[in-house]
Amino acid sequence: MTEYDLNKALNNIDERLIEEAEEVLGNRPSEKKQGIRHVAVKGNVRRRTLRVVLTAACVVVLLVGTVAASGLVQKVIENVRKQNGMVTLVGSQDEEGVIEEAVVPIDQTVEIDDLTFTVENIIGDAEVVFAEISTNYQIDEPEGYVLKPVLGFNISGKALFPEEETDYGVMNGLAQFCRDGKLWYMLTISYNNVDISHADMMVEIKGKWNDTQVDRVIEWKNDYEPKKETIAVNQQLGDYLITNVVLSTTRMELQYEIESVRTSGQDAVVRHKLLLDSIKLDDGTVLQYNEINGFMVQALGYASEDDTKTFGGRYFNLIGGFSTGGVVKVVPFERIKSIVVEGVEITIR
Amino acid sequence: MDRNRWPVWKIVNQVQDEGKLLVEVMLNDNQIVELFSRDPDGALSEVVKRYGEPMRRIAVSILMDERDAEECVNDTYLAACKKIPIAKPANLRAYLFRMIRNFAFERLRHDHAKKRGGEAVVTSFEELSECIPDRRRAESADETRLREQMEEFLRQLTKERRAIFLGRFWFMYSVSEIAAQMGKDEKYISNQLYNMKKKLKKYLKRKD
Repeated sequence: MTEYDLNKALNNIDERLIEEAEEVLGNRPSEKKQGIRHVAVKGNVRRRTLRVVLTAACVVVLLVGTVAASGLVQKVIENVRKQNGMVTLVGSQDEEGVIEEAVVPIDQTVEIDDLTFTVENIIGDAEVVFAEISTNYQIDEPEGYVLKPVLGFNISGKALFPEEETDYGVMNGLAQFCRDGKLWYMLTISYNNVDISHADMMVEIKGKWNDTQVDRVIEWKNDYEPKKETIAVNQQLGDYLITNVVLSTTRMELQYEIESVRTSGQDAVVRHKLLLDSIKLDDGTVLQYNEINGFMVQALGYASEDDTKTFGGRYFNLIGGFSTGGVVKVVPFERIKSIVVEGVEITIR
Repeated sequence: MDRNRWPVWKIVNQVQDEGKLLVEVMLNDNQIVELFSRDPDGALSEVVKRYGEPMRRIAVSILMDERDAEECVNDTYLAACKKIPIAKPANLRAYLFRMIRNFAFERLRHDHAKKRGGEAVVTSFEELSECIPDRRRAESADETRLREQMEEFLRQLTKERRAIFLGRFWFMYSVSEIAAQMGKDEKYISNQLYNMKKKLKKYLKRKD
């Protein structure tokens, strides 16, 4: 017997022993089990009146491998091929003009040698901007979403606020697409409680190209009137009191209250999360919400002073988040008539 | 309707926000395992992001060579793409770690035979050799029996001591890393390990 044999034997021991050790060693906190990972904890996080931002702003849709062969998804791809306009990157829309009105052309380009990046269009709310970025980089991929890394660039965006000191929390999400054999990106720039509908914006593209470190910036000014509608609901749903549904161009927020004694800020939001099943449009169309494979929702939670109540909000993207008949739809929020939460239909208008 | 065919959204970078607790939601392990069947590249990029560094660390701990470790990591990625869609492991992390340990052991044995004359030059890997009773050094190991003995030995330990032992010899953490993770003094961890090695040696001797 050698140390090799002993190590090998140890390697194959009952998995439960390994899991237990992971727990004790702290490798596997409960958040990880739920698919949640802390990415940053800065500043003085107070337990009381703690504002917790669980942000998942975003982003994008990654059509998965076998998808190309799937008839359902093929429809999405065909839509992308047939139509122009950024909404087709993240879903199709049957009704003309409703969402397209919100699309703002930007057309700002930077060059890195022979490689170009262009912010083509944006679509935004008060707090969120989706930016469509084209490149002239050719890729050999099926039309649609591209999951594997292509260019080694880090692409991020933010608003440039007049007060230099201001550093609100920004969250980015990025997805890659193949359109007409070229690489495209959809970048989301998301804030919480910060209106960026008229803000100066920038996208930064950093990375290595031709063995040289490069850093390019594209800037533009947002100039659109954000649309937002708050509908009071006040419906009890189990432990939850759903107070409001807040609708805007790119997302829907469910606001709720729950009586709870919590142990931490994120626990309040992670543990108490409302599940949205579907929405119904004014013409009776039912759109399923696709919360799978880590689909992102943005959530905000904070606790009452006495720690006995949690106020929460969960955001659901209206771009890329809903589908019917196998086709991902961009949802005009004006047409949402009811929502189905935890199996219960709530009529909102 | 096959929900697995729906698109997924994915966060690619993080927020920085003074005074706020920020949390990123990612694919969980089960979702990554599922993704391996449909999009190995995508699943792999999630694995690299989540487990790439700890896997590299394990390989380095065994091989004590960055380049060899890197090759082991790559071998593991390749094997993961082939095996995970079939095996569908319940614990992805343990599955990957076990796989990379195996690759590292194989490479180590190969290297020993080839150029090191059987002399181990590694830390936690080598440390276990102290637990082998002299009388059993000559025997050819029965893999199953030895595994059962190791399991029995581990089950005799308290939960905490078991975690320390596995932290050192399964996860290949250093003493200081284990101490930090468990909130204990380094000396305490060292003592525990010393005692457990002695205990294991006795146990293996008794089982001879």
